[in-house]
Amino acid sequence: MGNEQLSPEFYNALTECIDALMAGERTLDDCLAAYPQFASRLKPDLQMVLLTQRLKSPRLKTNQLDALEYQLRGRMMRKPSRQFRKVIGFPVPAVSRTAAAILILFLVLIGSGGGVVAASADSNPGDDLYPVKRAWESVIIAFYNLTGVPEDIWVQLAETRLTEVRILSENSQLTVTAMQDLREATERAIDEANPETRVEMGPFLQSVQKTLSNQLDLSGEHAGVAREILSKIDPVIQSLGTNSIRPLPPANDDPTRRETQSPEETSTTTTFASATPSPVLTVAPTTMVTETQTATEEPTATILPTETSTPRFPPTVTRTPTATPTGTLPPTSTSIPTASWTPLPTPTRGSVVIPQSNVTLEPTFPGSTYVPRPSATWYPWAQATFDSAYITQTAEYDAIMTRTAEAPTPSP
Amino acid sequence: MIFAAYAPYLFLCWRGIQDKNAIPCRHKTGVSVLGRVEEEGLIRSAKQGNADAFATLYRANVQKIFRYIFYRISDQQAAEDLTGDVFMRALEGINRYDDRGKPFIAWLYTIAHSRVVDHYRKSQRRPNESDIESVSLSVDPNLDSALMRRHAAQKLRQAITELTDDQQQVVILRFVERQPINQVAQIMGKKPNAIKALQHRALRSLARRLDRAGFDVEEILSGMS
Repeated sequence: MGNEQLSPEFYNALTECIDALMAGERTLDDCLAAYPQFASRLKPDLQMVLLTQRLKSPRLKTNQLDALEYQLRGRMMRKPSRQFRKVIGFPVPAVSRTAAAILILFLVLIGSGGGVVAASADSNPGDDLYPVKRAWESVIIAFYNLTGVPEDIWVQLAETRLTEVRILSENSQLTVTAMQDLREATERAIDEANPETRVEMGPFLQSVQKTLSNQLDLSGEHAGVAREILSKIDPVIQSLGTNSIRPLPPANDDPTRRETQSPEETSTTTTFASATPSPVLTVAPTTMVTETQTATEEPTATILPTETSTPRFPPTVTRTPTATPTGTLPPTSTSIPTASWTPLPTPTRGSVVIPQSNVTLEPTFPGSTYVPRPSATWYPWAQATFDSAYITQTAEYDAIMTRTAEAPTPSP
Repeated sequence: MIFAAYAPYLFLCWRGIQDKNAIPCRHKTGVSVLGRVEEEGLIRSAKQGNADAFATLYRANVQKIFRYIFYRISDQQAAEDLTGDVFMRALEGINRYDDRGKPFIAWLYTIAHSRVVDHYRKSQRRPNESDIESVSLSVDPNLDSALMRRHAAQKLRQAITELTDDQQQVVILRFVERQPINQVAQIMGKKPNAIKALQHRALRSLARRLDRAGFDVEEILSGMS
């Protein structure tokens, strides 16, 4: 008997009978009949199973269940939840570790990426960050393709390529690739230009022409690319017409005398800006667009502020409201205190004066401050900074000019 | 680009919200059979502080825990208190819970077992076999069968409490809760063959105790049928 109780067969038989009894599939007699060799020991065990199952089990009542659940919920409310974890005194949304890691990685990439892009702004071909600069330009172009391409974006790109070519040439590091990039950018700027922006490209094209013709020491393949560029831009420059481009000043041009020029004199000048350097004036060949700034950092540019056919330089006197954020002409032909402002054709109030880029502003009146025009960059906030400073300076200038106008007019 | 980087985080948050909304509203009935996948989702939500999820787990397992504790200490009032204590402790430790393939009830049984042991230790009251044998339980042959059965039931409950811890768990899980051998083995952390042998020893011990108390199990069973 004892051996039967210890045998695995007995345990298996007991387990099988217990499961069958609890499921109601067999009766006690059925189980004893199924295992007659174990019947004497199976019977008392199976009887206890039946008796145990007939015990009435107590249950918690509904109100007891509810009361305990209420206590549990109250404890959960008081317990600091994993959803919000106070960090440094203020709650921080708790996220899973994976989500937190992804979020942190994203923020790090964004922060470091922004710094890298900013650092790459002044990079040139051959620098480590130059690919970042070009990639960022592609991002800007892609963005503008969605929101609308500014009219002068291609000119800005071409000006950037031109600047890079100049810098590389100065450092004797000019490459054919940089020249080819300049050619492609220039061609793109020409192709994408509309009739209005085409005229405004004049100063830039002149700058390219001047740079490639005289300023750079090109040879071999570099010269070949330069000729291709010149052959592309020469017809465009000629087709722009005589009224759209002011001539390049002579080398000994005195900026203080330029104020005496008249608009007629200026507008009739049709001489194509030859490659005559003007070491005095450091005016960038920019168009007088107040909305956008297309200036390039051109310390040796010789082109005077263009007097385009746009109303910015009207050949006739027009009155301009003083409230506009533009400069106003003095009422007389009194010389303008600063050599930086555009020479006024006629001493009448109302003409719009657009400051030149990269002009060395001399603080010639109280309160003025030097506001260097930023170079062409991809950072519009630099333009906004300049514009705000220009507005302030213009207001001060206008106030001074108003007081000057009220003074007795000196005899010419 | 920004959305693409945030997409994984948003997906994880959505997953959490989805689990929260997937809580079955069956807790009001007091009885609920939770599937394994459903239970895992509730546990995950409860770890994140979802009160409804934990309430559902509570409702699905509270009666089992109560019966388990009651049969082990044979004191309904104390069993009610200990049941509440078990779920309070489960709530406190839910964040550390790791199923490791075992059902949630197995973890609750573990907590309940430790609470019962603590209860015995504090009360310093656990009847042993010698005490039972010395008690003469008079059984009047003329006693009403219903009353006889009531006495037998009381004696049986008392006998269960006098078993060893493992034998108690096997009797309660196998014969009161009707859990299969493999499930009981998983809960108790033993092999199925060990459970088979354990159940036999527990049943034999119960039978011996009732016989010593003067109860005829066959007669009681025949009166019940």
